[in-house]
Amino acid sequence: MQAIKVVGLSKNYEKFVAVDNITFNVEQGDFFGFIGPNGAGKTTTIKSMLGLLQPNQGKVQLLGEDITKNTFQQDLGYIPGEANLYDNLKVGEQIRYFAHYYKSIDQGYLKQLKQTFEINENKKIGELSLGNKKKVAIICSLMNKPKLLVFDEVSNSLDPLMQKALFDELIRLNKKGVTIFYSSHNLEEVQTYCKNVAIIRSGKIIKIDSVEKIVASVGVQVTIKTKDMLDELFLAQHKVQPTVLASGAITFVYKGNINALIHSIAKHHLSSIRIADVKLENIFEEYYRGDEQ
Amino acid sequence: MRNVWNLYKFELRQNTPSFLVWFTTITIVLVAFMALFPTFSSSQYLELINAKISILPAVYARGFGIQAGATGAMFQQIFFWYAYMFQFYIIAIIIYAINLGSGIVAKEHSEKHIDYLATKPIKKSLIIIVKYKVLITYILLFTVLLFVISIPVLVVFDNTNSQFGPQLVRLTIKVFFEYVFFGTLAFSISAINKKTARLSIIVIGLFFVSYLLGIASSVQNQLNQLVYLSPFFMFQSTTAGQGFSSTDLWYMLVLAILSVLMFGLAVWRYSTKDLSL
Repeated sequence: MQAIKVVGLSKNYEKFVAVDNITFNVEQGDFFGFIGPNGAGKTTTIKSMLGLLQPNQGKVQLLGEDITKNTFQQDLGYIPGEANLYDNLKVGEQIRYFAHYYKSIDQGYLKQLKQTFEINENKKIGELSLGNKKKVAIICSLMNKPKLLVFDEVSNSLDPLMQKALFDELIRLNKKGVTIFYSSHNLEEVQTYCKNVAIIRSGKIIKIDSVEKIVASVGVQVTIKTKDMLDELFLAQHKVQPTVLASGAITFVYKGNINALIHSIAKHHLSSIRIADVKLENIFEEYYRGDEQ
Repeated sequence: MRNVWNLYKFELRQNTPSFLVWFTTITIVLVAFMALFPTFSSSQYLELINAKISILPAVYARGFGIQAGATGAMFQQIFFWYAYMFQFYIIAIIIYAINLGSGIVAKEHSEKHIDYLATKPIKKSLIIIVKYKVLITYILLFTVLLFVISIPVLVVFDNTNSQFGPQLVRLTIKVFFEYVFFGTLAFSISAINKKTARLSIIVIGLFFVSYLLGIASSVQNQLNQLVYLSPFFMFQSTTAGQGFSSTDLWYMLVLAILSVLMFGLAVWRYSTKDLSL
């Protein structure tokens, strides 16, 4: 079953087309990355998906039901980009207020979340740092044990320890079948944790595929240190465009038979070699740049 | 129902501090002014007041709820003294209702809490209905508590043993419709507006325009029909204690119908518009 089904979704702000006829599905149990440059339409897409904005056209189903039926919220966990909780409430009051909207809350799990994210329930929300507000928002989004999590720029402003705690929990939930729709600017996170990813630019989905396939389709990043220069024959044979780094290492993206490449490189006097997946940020740089052109 | 109750309790609590500030202030002013009655009703001051008011043009005095020529008699009745001062409380309570009506909708949006609230298991239409219930609750609470507090205040400071009970009830009922009308107007304009902004200043402006129309209607006979555009002057506090005329009843009905229509429009619009920008 599809946890998210978006068909022909468009959203305009007067004459400005923020989201332009996009269609995509997210399967149940997916950890789905949603990326794009600033102003590409990520947040508008999310808010239209959740019914916070009224689409100009298109349909959205969440957890198998049309969003207009308002049945999905019981199984939804959502964190908007800006964690604007109620500043005059204490953390504990905020959590209890949101908890009362759900049919049932597993108090044991809630207690565990509070411990994991190390919150002080007696502090007022308005006195918290942005990172701590985010932690409260995370607890509020997870406490109802949702089947679908929609996160919009969640991990920024969290310290590395809390980021790890968050992703540990998300991975655990994802393994249990929870669908995670994860919008982020942090491509490293998306590459590390997401199974599939969609790229949005100028309101249109320009790429949607598994992270693995996208990375594999580009090739691998090879970085070598050698006293020799890579000869013309090598460059022509393997169709690579090397860049010399400040450290003197030579790096290039290679797509082809890795054994053949290693065989050729072995003819040089290597002091080190590193072969790794190409980073998403390198891959998506060209997509992002397309927006500026 | 659990969700509705949860939001209702929350909104009540969120708006309690402003209610307490407004209510306490008005009560203190009420008590302070009523405490002046025994002094003002003494013959020495009555002569002075009569002399001052008698130099006002009759139409001008009418504009401020005073019937020239009968001033002395009026100021000898505690209820008239109460009602005369009450017109200023009405303005204050209408401004409170407008602020609350506008703020209860707009604050959720200006502070961007709506992104959380509208993704909780509660329909948008219920969100707006509950917020309206809170508005009506506070207007009702204000009206009833002020009525209850007025009774001992009137009794304590009444040195003439006059009857005021039925007049107080009639005044309270009539002005309640005014409060609801202006509160609903502010609530609906904020909810209907595309950006759900706090538009209380516009509604306060509308109220004062209607107030000026009421004054115009009382000073110029050719303009007397304008009084129908001024709920404040239709139920002027100094005369509202008198019986329910058929015009009064019709006017109350019209205010109620307009409030219901505006509320219905607000619910429809709120349920179908962008809640988040």
